[in-house]
Amino acid sequence: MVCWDDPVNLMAYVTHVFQVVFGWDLKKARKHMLEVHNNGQSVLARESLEKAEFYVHQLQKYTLHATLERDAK
Amino acid sequence: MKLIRAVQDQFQFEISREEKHLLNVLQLYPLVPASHHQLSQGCEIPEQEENQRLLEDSLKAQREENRKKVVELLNESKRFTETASGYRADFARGEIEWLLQVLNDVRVGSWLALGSPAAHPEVKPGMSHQTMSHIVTMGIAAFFEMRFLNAVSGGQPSGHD
Repeated sequence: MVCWDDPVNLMAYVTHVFQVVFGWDLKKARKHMLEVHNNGQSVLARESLEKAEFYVHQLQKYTLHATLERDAK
Repeated sequence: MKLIRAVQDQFQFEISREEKHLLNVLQLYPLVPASHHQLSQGCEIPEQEENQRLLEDSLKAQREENRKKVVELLNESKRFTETASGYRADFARGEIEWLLQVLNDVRVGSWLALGSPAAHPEVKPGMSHQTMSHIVTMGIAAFFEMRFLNAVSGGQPSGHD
């Protein structure tokens, strides 16, 4: 599951949403937020389809641009 | 808007009269078009149509629920206690979560209406009444988002009488 950069989202907001949706600590949430900000995207999780869909739903409820993508690994 | 008290999951804010008026920005919700939400950027997913429909249904239900909460909040006379300088209002952590969703929808929706500048460098919104309105709305939404984020991330109350 990938989160893409929408330059409109506040950095603090994205960090907060990652903490709430994934239960991550501030350090991990900020690391992924910076990946999104600097690289245009961050792979947030590699999960089963069902679980990844759940996370996409949660992130999109916060209007973050998150999608399911096939794992290249 | 200042955080004046934070006890467990309850937050009390001091809000000026002007800020309370600006909270009417919540009435614009929802602004992001349903078609904006896609399950995937291009890869094929098993039962894609069905899964896309599930996403749309889930977001539609959330929009209806949040819309109802916005109407209730703005019409709830007991929520805002008048003070000499404005108002005091209490919000639970869960309420702040849906308010953040609503505010960010308004912010992103306004940005999309401007043509997603910054994501599309060729887009340069002109100065019209409509574009100015979107830009101001984005700023107001961001203002309240940051106040709520500071509160739930452990920001220190700025004191009270």
